[in-house]
Amino acid sequence: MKTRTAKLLILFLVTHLLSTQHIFSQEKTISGNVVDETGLPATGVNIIIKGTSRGAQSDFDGNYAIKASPGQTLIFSYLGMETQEQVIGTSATINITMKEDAQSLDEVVVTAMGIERAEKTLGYAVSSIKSEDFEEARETDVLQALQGKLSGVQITGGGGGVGTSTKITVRGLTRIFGDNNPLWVIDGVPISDSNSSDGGISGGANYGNRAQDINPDDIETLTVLKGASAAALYGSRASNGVIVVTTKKGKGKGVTITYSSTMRFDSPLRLPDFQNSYGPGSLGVYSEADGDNIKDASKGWGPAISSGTAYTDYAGNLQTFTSNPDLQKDFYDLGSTKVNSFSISGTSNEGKNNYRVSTSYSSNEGILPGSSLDRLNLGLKAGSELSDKLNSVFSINYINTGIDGAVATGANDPNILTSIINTLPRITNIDVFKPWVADDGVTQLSPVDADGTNNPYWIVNENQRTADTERFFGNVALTYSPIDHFSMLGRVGYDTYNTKYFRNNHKGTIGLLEGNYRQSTTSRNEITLDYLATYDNSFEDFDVTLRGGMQWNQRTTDIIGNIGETLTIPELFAPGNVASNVPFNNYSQTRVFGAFGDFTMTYKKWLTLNATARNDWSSTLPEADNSYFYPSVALSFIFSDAFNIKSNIFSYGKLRGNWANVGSDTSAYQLDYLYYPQSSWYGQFSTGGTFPFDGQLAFSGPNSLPNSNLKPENQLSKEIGIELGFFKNRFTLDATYYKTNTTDQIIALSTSPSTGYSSAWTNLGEISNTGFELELGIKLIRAKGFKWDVNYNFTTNETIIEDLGDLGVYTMASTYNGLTVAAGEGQSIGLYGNRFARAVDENGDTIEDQILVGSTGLRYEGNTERLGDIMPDFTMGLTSVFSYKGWRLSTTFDWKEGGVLYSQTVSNLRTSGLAAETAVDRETLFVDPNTFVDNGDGTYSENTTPIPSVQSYWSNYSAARIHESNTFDATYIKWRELALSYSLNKKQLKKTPFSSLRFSLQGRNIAIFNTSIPHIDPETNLFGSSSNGGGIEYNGLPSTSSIGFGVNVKF
Amino acid sequence: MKNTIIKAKYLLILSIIIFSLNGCTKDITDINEDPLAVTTVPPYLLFPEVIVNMSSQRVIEFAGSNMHAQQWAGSGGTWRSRSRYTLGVPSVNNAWTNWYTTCLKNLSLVELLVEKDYPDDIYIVAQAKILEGFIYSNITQVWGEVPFTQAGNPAEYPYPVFDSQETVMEGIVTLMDEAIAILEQDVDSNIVDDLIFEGDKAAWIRWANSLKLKMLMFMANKKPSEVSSRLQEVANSALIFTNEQEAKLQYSSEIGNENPKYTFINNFWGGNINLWYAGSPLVNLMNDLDDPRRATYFDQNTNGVYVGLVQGFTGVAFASKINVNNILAETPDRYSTASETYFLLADAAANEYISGGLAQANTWFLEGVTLALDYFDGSLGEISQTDKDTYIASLPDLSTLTKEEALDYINDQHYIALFGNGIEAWNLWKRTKSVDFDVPNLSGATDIIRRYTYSSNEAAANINIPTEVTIEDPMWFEK
Repeated sequence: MKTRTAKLLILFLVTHLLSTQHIFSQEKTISGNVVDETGLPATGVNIIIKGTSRGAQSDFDGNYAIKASPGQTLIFSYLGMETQEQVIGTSATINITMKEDAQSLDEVVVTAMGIERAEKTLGYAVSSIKSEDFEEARETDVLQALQGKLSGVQITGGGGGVGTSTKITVRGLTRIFGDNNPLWVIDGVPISDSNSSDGGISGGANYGNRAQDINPDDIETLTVLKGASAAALYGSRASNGVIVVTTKKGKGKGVTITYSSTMRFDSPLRLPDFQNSYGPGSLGVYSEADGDNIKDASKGWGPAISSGTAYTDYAGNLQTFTSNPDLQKDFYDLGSTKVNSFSISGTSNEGKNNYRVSTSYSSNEGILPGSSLDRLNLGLKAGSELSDKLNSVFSINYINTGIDGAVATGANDPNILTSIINTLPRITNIDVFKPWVADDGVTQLSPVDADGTNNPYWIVNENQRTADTERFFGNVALTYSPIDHFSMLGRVGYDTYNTKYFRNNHKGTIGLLEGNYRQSTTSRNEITLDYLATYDNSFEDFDVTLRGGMQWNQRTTDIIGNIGETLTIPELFAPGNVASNVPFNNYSQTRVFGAFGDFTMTYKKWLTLNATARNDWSSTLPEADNSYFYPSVALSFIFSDAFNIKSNIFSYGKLRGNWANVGSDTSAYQLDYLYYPQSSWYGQFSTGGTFPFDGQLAFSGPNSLPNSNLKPENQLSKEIGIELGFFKNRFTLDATYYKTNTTDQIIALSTSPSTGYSSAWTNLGEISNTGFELELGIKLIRAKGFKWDVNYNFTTNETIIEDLGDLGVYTMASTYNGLTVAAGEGQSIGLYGNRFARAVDENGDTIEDQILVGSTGLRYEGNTERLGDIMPDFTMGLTSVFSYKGWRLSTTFDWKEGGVLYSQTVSNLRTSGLAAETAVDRETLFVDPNTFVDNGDGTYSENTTPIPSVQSYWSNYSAARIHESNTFDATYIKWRELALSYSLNKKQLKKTPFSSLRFSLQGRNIAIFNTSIPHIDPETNLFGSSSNGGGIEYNGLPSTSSIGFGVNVKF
Repeated sequence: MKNTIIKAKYLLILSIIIFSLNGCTKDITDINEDPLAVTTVPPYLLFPEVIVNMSSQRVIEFAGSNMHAQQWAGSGGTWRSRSRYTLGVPSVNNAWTNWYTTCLKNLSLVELLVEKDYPDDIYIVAQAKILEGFIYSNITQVWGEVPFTQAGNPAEYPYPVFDSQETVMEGIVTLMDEAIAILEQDVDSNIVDDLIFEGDKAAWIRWANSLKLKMLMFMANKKPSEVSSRLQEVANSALIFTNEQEAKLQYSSEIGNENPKYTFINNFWGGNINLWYAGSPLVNLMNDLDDPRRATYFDQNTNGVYVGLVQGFTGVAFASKINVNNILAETPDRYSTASETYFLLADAAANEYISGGLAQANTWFLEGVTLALDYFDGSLGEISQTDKDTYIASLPDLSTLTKEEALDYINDQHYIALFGNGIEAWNLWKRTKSVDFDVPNLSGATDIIRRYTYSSNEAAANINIPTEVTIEDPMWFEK
C-alpha cells in the first residue's frame, strides 16, 4: 500500500508540474480598484465569480483584474467587511468601496474535509484566530499563541524547558483513558500532534508536541471546531475536537516578498522566594568539628549566615558562611528566541496560478545552560486553475527540529536538576561547582553529595538529552467540476516524521558511575486519501448542498532503539563500546476506512439544516464489531432576518443547535492474547539486567489482559447557542451551552495484580462534560482614526464521571508516594493523596477542621483522600487592541480559576528550610493553632503542646508524604502578551523599496497575578501533553518570561 | 485538444484514488496482528522471565528485609528509611505486582501451554508448580494473608479473596505433593533445562521436599500435632543435604546477568559499601560465639573489632560495614540451602515433632553448622579448617541441654547462616524469636515489623483487600 501511495504522489507531482500551460478562454478582463470607507486601498479583498471557484485578489494598491463574462456576478469579500455583489455589465471596470462589518458575520469557516461554509449557516460553535494574531508576538509554538484567545479550550504550558509540550483540550476530558487531544488538520489533511516525551515521573524529558512543527507565519486562519457535530465528518478522532489550519496561499497581483524578524530575551518568570539568613546545619548548629559536613547537612536549618560559621565547601575549600541570594539567578542563563521568516508569494496567469514559498528559522537558547532548540521550516504551496473545470492545489512542508539539553523532571533519576539547584544551601556560590570534571574526563569534581547527588554543571554539560526531528507533510488535491453544480475532489495527504532521541549518562555520573546511553528512532507516517463529490444548487428559496465521500487513513509507528550500559571509552556512544546492549523495537499500524454523506439545506438564507452521517471500519476492533455508524444534525436559525426585527440597537440574532454521535476505536493489537520476547529484566534502583540470562532467552505473556470482544466507544453531544449583534454589530455576543456523554470507553482497566494482570481491556463507564462558553466582541471606539477593540471569552466545563462499573475510583496517572490523578464515580477528575489525620465524630465521619497532632505537638499523616479537582472552575481571556494611524497596541490576559496543584518544589524548599517563610521567627516554639490531641477514648482535646522546633514543624508539615500541605489552589491570572507596533504609512514608504514596514516591541508571559501558590508558576504539567494527568508539579524548570522586538517588511 | 488530454490525465488519477479507496477496504481487518509478538510459545521459554524477575525482587527490592532481620542496618537515605520501617509505595507495589503478574501469571501460562500444545511434557508442569509454591512462600512471608485460591483467574475471580496464611501454606505443601507425584512418574516427558537445576529431576524433587519441610515447620509452630506425622514423612524423604544441592539462582560477571545488589553498589558507590552497616543483634551474637564468619560477613571497625549498629541510628563512626565480598557480581540468590534443611530438622527433633530427640537434633545441628561454614570454601570469605574445628568444638552437645537451650542454639546458628537472605532470616525470627531485636530509633514503631502493607495497586482494584492491617501485626504462624 505504501508504495502504491508513494507512486500516486509522484504521479500527482509530475502531472502538476507539467500543467502550467495557458488555458484559452473567451472571456474579457474585468479590472478595478477596491478602497475602504476611508478611501484607502483595500488589499487582499477576495473577488470570486459567483457559482464558480474562480477568483482573484486585490493587490496592495487595491487593484484587481479577473477574467469573466458579462452577466456573471462578482462577489467581493474580505474578513471584517461586508460582502458585496456586482453583476458584470458592459463596462470592463468595476470599482468598489468596501464597508466595514462591525461583526464579521459573513466569515467563511473552514469545516470538515476542508469544506468552506459561511459562519452564518453553521449550527455549531467555532472559534477562529487569524494570521495577525500569530504575528503580534511571534511564538515558536502555535499553541502558546492561542493562550487566552479562544473559548472552549484549555491550554497548559509544560514549564520552562526548550521545546516543551503544550497541552490543549477542547471542552474537557471526554476519556479517562487514552487520547484526549484534538485532531490537527492542515489544509484538509490530518497531521500528527503526538508528544515526544521519554517517560514521566522517572526523570522523563519532554521534547514537545508535534503541532509545534507548524510555522505560525504560514497560518492564514486557525479554527477550533469544538463539538462532535462540527467534526462528524472527520471520523472518530474528531470527538476530541478539531483544530483546522488553513495555510496562506499566493494572492494579489505580482510578487510579494515578506520578511520578518523577531528577537526576544527569556528569563525565569518566577523563581522561588528564598530565605537568605540561615546556612546549612540542624537546629541552628553547624559544626564540622562534631562531624557535620555540607554534603549531608540539612540545607537551611543551620546557624545564621551572619554568624560567619566556618565550613568546607563542595570543592573542599575552607570558607565562612556568606549569603548568596542570587544563587539560582546566577545558575540560569539569559535565554533568547530568534525567529527569521521569509516568504515569496504571488499569482500568475491572471490569478489562475498561485504560489507561496516560505522559510522560517527559529533558534531558541534556553535558560538552562546548554539547552537550545533550532527549527527550520520550509513550505511550498501552489494552486493552479487548469481549466474552468479543473483546479489543483499542492503543498509540501519540511521541518527540521533539533532540541539539545532537554531537562529531566520527576524523580529517581540522577539528572533531576531543579531539585538540586533549588536546595543548595544559601551560602553556596554557584561557581564552586566549576570545574565539574577532572582532567581525566571521568572523575566528577565537587559533587553535591558523593553518595547520591551530582554536580549541577556535570548534569547540564556531560549528560546530554537531545531529540532531532525531520518531518514532511503535505497534500495534493484536485477538484474537477464536469458540469455546473457538481464537483469532485480527490486528495492525498501524507505526514511523516523521524525523531532521533539520544541521552547519556557520562561515566562518573553518581547513580550510574559506569555510564550509559540510550538511542532510539521513532518513525511515524500517516496517509490519508479522500474522495468527495459535491452537488450544489439553488431552487427558488432553497439552497441545497449534497456531499458524499470516502476516506482511507493509515497510521504507522515504528520505534527502534538501543540502550548501551557501561562505557569503555567515555564519550564514544557506539554499541561496540559498551559492555551490554539492550535493543528494543515497537511497531503499530492501524487503518480506518470511512464513508460519509452530508446534506445541507438553507431556506431564504435564514434557516439552515445540516445533516451528516458516517460509517467507519477500523482495523483495531474485532471483525464482528469493527463497523460503526454515526450521524449528526445541526440547525441554524437567523431570527433577526426571519422576522425582520433589526433596529439601530439590535442588528443580528441567530439561534443554533445540534445533536451528534461519534464512535471511536482503540489502539492496535489489543484483541489477541500475545507472548512477547523480553530483552531485559527489572531491578529497583536501575539494577535491572538483560536477557539472555546464562544463555537463555525469555518470553512473557501480556501485562494487560486482551479482550477479543471490544466494541466501539460512543460519544453523544448536544449543543445550543445564540449569537447576537447590537449597535450595527459593534457589540456581539456568542454563547454556547453543551453536554456530551461518552459511554463504553475502551479502557485498560486497572485490575487486582493478584489476578495475574495489572490491567484488562474492557468497555466501561460513562463520562459527561457540561459546559458554557461565551465570547464577546466590543468595538469600543471608532473615531477619527482611533480604534479600540476588546474581545473577551469565558469558558466553564464540568467533567463528571457518571459511571465506573464496579469501580469506585480509576487511577489515571500516578507518581511516587501514593499521589495520583484519578476519576471517582460521581465526581470530576481529581488529585488524590495523603492528608493530615483528623478527628472523627461518633459516626466515624471526619471532622474537617480538627487536625490531630501527636505527643510532640506535630501533625501526622492520615488517610489518602481527594485533594481537589485538577480542572479549573473556569477560564477567561481578555484581549484589547488599540490602534491609531500606524500605531497598534495589543495585549492579552488570561485567568484560570480553581483546580489544585501539588508542588514537589514547595515541599523541597520548605522541608529543607530554604523557603522565605521558614526563616520567620525561627526561635519561637508556637502551638500549632486549631489542632487537637486524640485522647484515645473517642474524645479529643485542644492541643497545648508547642512544636519541638521550627525545623521539625516545617520538615513534618511539608513532607512529601503529606500531599495535602503541598497542594494549593491553582488559580492564576497571567499577562500573556503585550505588543506595540508601528507601521509606516504609504507616504513614508514612498522612497523605499518596501510596500509595508512594521516595527514592534513585544513581551510574552510578562507577569503573573492572583496566585495563592508560593514559589512556582502554577501553569505546569509533569505529565506532558499526551497524558491525561495534570495537577502535579514535580521539580519542573521555571517557566520563562520574554521581551523583545520585531520587524516585518513587505516588498 | 491539450486541454482534453490534461483532463483525461486527471480523471485517470481521480479514478485511481477511487480504486485505491475501494481496494483498501479489504485491508482493514487483517492488519491487526503485532509483528513483534506471537500467539503461542514453547512453555520452557517462560521460565527465565519468572526466575530472574522473582530473584530481582528478593535481592534488591527486598534488600531492606536484611534490615528488618536486623542483620544489616542502613545509615542513610533509602537504607536508613528501610531500617526505620519507611517502606515506600513503589517497593510494596513493585514486588507484589511483579510476583503476581510477571512470575505467577507466566507459571499459569506454562501449565496452559503444556495442556494445549505439549500434553506429554508433564515434568514441566511439576517444575512450574514448585516455582509457584516457592513464590507463594515468599509472598506469604512478607504479607501474611494473601490471594491464593482465587488468584490468577480474572474471568472467574476479578476480586480474589485473601486466604489465611494457613490456607496458603497448606496450599504450598499440596503444590509440592502434586509436583513430586508428577516427577516420580517414569514417563517420556521433556523437562526444562532451567536456570536453577539445569533440568535435574532429582534436584527438583529435593527442593520440593525442602520447601515442604519449611512450610510444615512454620505450621508446626501453630498446630504441632497436626503436622508432626507429615514432618516425619518429609524428614525421611530426599532433601537438600549438601551445599552442591542447594536451590539458587547463580548470577555471573557476564554483563546484564550480575547480582542486582552488585549493580547497585557499582552504580552508586563505585563498587564500595557506603550505607550498609552490620546490624547489632547479629554482631553481638557472633561476638559472643567468637564466630569465625565475622570476617566473612563484616569489615572490622577502625578499632579492629566488630560493632553493629542499632536500627535507625546514624552514629556510624565506630560501626562495622558489610564486607563487600558478600556483594559480588556472581553472588547467588539462595532459595533453599542444605544448612537450612539440617537446622529445620534439628528444630523439629528438639521440639519432638519428629523422632530422635536431642541426640538426633545435635547431629543435625552440627551438620548444619558444618555446611554453613563449608559454604565459603573456595570463595573470598573462606574459613580455615582450624577456625572451623575450633568453632565446632566450642559448641555444646545439645543433648546435654534443656529443650529450650538446645532450640536457642539451633535457631541462633540458623539465623547466622541466613546472613544476606533477608526474607528468610526475618521470618525465622518471627517463628522463633531466638534473638532479641531492637525497635528502631525514630521509626514511630512500638514493635518489630512483621509484614508489609498491601500494595496500593491491589487496594485500588480489589474490593476484598483486608483493611486495618498494620506492619506490626504478627503473622498467623507466630507463637
